[in-house]
Amino acid sequence: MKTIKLLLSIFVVMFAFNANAQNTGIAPYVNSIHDYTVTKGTTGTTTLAWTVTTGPTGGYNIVSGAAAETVEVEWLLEGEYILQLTETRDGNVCPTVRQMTVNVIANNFDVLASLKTTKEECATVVSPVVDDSSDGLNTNDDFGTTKRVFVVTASGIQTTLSWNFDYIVTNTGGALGSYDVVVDNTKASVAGSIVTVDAGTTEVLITVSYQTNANRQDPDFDIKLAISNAMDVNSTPNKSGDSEISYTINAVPATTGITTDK
Amino acid sequence: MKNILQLTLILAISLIAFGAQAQDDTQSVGSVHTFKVNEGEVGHAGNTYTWNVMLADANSPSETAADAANFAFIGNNTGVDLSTVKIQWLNVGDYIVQIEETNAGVNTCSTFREISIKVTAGELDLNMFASAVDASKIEGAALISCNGSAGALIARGGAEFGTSERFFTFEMKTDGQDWNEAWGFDYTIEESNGSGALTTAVVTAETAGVTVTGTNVTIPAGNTRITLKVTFNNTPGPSDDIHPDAAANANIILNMIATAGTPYITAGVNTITELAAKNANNTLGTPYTITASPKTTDIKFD
Repeated sequence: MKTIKLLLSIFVVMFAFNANAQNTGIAPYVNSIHDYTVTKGTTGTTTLAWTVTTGPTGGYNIVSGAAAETVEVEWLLEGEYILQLTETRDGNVCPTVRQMTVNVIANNFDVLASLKTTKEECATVVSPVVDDSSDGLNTNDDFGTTKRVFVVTASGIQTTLSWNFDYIVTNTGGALGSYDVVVDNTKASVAGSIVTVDAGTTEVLITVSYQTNANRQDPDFDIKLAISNAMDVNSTPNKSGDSEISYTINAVPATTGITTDK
Repeated sequence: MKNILQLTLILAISLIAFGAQAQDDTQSVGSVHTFKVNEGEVGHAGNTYTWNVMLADANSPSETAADAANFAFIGNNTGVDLSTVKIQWLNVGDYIVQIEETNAGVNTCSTFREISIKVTAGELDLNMFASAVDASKIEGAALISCNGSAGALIARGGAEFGTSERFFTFEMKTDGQDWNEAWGFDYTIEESNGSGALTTAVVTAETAGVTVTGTNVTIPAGNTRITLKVTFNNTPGPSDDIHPDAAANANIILNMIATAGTPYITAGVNTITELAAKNANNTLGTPYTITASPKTTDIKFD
């Protein structure tokens, strides 16, 4: 019975540990940067010194604050490290040492672009297309609006961390005239080509739309989304790297209005 | 606020009442019309076109096919590069001519277009005119001419002044197009002289294949224009300028009338009748005048 309780508590601890294993300071991802903070004691003036006493060689880099209350550490290799802070009174006397074990784990932060609907489909066309001014031409007829939605998804990220990426939408294959690209900004913000997504949100939609056959007859073409430089707020890089994905849109015939002899 | 609500309600009701789409064109029953798309456009080679005749319904595009007895495609209605089609209307009604164009090759995306056509009997028109036996038109002064026995010898002891013949030509058109399938009409004859109405006229068909039964004329397919012959008795008598006080002017006035409401065409299985608005040319504006020969007596001798 005692053994079972022991096993259960170990299991619970392990489970709790794993649930929190999403790039925190105690279990950071490789290539992430984390802050560690102490508050000085109040006896006189003191100096602080942060070091890493054990762990894989070359596995870390102190970015800033080696002598400050907050140190910024970049973790480079998987493994177990001991992060140590020594506070020494002036005159190099009476040090206090604090340590914590840091378990650097594999980067599990992944940002991927995917398609929301079928990859290859016909453009959207109003059915039937209405002959504007009944002139039998198609010059000013509304063929409808074609929309395609891309989804950019982050996984392996703490819900307290925001993340960001660069994006660019291009048209390949046949030439498309003008098109609109809209990034859903309900849980994200856009500055230039950089999208920053709110902490706690793991998905953002990018919608591309255009007027079908606006230039009389569209060809078949592709719409491609390329994402790059995805990282979380701790500069943890995207483990799968830059990626791109595209929709193939098949044109609909730009049929003119029907005319008849009088 | 109340006024705006009332106005909105009235507007809404009018829109519902007139909600059916306005007709793009009106065409005549029996006529053949061409419908086309993509004239002068490039980039459609090899596409498949399917033409349909539909009825308006709540779907976009329309999904209710029109009754196949009410229209006919002249030639195919589906095929590659078939951007033109000919439709003959066989019944009155409101129709939608619909085209579905589908890309050639593996990308089989389609576009639909529609045009709404109101088919009426309004341009169905029987026309008639005085003619010679060869259907050439007779008009003006030529409508007045001698009776058929003028100059003939009247047999001694006889008082038979013979008969005359006159011809009337009839034609049927729809939307100005010659009608080349079955049609028909009923007729009446107006035959009179100064003494009043006469009833000697007999109508026969001059054009082969045409049937005259009583007052009914039936014309089979292949006859856009037909000629009828009217044979009637001459009524001899004085001409009015020599005997101004003569009892009666013996000149015969002769006209035919295609009876209102009877001229029809047979379009497929449907019988469509000419509307009253087209009745004006169902009779001669100016009838024939058949001038009489004098009523010379037999030669007596002492």
